[in-house]
Amino acid sequence: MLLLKFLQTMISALNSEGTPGQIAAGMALGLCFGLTPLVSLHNVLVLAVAMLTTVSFPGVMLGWAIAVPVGFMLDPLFDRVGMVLLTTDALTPLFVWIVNTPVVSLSRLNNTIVLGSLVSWLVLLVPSYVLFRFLVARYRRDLYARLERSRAFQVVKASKIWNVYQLFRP
Amino acid sequence: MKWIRWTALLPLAVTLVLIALAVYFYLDPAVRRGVEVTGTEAVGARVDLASAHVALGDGSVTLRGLAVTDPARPMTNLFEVEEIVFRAAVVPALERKVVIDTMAVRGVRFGTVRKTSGALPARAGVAGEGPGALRRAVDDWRSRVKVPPISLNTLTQSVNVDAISAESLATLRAARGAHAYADTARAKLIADLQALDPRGTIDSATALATRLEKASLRSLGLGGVRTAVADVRRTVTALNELDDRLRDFQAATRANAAGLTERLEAIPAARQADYAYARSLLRLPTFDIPSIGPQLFSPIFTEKVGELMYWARLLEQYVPPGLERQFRAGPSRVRASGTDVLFPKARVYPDFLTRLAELTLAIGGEGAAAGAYSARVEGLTTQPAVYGAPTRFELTRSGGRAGPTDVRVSGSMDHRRAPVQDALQASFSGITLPTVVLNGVGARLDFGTGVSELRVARRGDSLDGRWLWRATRVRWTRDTLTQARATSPAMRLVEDALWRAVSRIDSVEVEARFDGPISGPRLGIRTNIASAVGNALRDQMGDEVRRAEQQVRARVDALVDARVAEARTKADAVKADVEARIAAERARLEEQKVALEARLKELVRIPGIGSPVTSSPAPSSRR
Repeated sequence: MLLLKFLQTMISALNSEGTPGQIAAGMALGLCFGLTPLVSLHNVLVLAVAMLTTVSFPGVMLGWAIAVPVGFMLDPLFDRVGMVLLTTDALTPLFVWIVNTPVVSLSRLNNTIVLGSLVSWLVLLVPSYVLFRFLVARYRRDLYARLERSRAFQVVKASKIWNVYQLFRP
Repeated sequence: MKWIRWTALLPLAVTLVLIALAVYFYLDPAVRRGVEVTGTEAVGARVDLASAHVALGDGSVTLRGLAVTDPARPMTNLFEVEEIVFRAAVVPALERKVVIDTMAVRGVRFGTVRKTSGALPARAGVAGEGPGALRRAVDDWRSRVKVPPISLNTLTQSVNVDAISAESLATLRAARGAHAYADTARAKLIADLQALDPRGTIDSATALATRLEKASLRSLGLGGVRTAVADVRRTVTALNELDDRLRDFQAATRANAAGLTERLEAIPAARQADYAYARSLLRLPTFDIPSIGPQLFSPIFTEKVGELMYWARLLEQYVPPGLERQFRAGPSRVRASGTDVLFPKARVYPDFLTRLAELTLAIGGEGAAAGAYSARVEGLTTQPAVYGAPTRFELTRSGGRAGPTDVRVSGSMDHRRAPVQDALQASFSGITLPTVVLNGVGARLDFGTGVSELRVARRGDSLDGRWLWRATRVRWTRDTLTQARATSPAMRLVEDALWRAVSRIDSVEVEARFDGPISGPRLGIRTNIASAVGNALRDQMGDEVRRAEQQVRARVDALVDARVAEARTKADAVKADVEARIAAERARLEEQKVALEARLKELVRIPGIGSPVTSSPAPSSRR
């Protein structure tokens, strides 16, 4: 069932009327939900950006789905990155401000996993956007016509969830 | 292309409201879980909370059914609290900080029984950190300081001195060390003597003396004689310098020999330690009164002092001094927890602070602690350097029909800067003291009601404390359950004598003193029971113990004497050998110097050569 939903999301995103740039931007934003701990203040901001801008929302979902397992796998790396940043003396004034400022402190940026994963996502944001845009364009040009004729594709496209995702189409 | 999707404003608002509602409804379980997880992590045993309720309107938090497991006894709660109500400040809460202005606590009970074990499952953690590591360190200390109880059984059997192993004796190690040192010292001294190279200088002096032995003005000519005089003067100077170096070397050699002497002198002390060690292997009863106290009460006091050590060290871990970065385990979640890095800063809110808690505690039942109490805690915080004042607390008994007549507990905790300083004074009058089985004595001591006084002071890594129990109407019962009666009639006589000696004592005082490093303080126990026990043992068993001790000493001597004698002989031989070598070199040197100086006197008498040259100055004037 999860796999089916994932396929629907992917097909919906890749075949929506959004431009490859909009889908890639959505996917790059969606990575944040998977790479960083979900219940974090910064994810509310990313959600707001994803909803208020004309990026592909199915793209956001697809990016999230792709990034979840990657996030779990890379936790040890995020932990190290976060620890390095949090123990860098030059950044101490910044973190002192963060942990002692109302609301900002709720971001939990003094946690190694939160900080490490957020910084990693920010670093990957532009490269992942470029990569996704290239891949979506290649998909539409080379793969889509062949897939559209397949029976599996027709089954997925016919399900109700497809219609729900159409609502979020850019 | 338009970038903003204005139509999404409403769905976004709805989403945010939904998130806020989820947070609101999840807040109570989140607080409950937070208290349980943080408490468990801090205490090192399970902390359970039945429910938590946060009233956002007035900022009050109510915790119900808090049960904190005693880490040392997982089926017992350290304490249980029916209800805690406190009001938390809102602005610090927006900084993820808990600042409590007032707190009310109701229904506190200590030492209640748990339905399920509160022990934590063993988990792989960072070695040397956390409550588990502290618990292991304390257990290790307990096993090291616990003194075995008095044992009479060994005297019923023949003394088995074969159990004393030669390899475990310090005397042998000291003797071997002295032997090896002598070898090393000899090799080094000979090498140093060779490096000094006295032979070269002496041999060239000998050659010069031989060459000039039959030389005259005729054979050498005036120029040759002048050259010969210059050569002789130069050689005598070289011999004098060599003599100085040999003298210095001889002094250094004697200093090295002092190291050897030190090692030899350490052997008798090692032998005394071996006598004590060998005696302890046989567990012979001692009549030495200061050592009887620990034998009687060390099990109970190592437990209690160990708990003090555990909590004092845990306190330091969770309330570290100073404004340095602090590292704590991150929140428990599906993803990895990571580490929370705290950045304390002066003059802001600390992470956790209870400014003032005035507690009224009612401990029900007829137990040792039953009664009504009032307590006051001031400035309880996890970041004292941020708060800027020490934590102070006091507890007094305010009433009750059962339980102690008077309770006074007060203390302070100053972790603002290193070294940390903690102090605790506790005094309980009319408290029911425990019943103690005195192993070895075959008696059970029921203290009844009495006085318990505790004073502990910690400064940095140093702990100093005193724990006193005093009871004036103790009850004694013969203990045949934990200690079976002796089988031989002689030992039964000893047991009876011990029983008569202790059972006459009405008033008992036990004082445990502990001081030294907090990781392993020394523990001394003094009690008035010790003199009664010591005297009874001496009367009944003095001769047997002395005989056994003689056998032990003879066995130790037999094992070590040969090696000690060998080490001494070796050391003496090395000293003599090196001294002889130096003396021989100096004698040869002196002989050549005298010959050359005599020849020089003859040469300078020749007209046109120069004034007579005085002999080389004395060593002290040469310097």
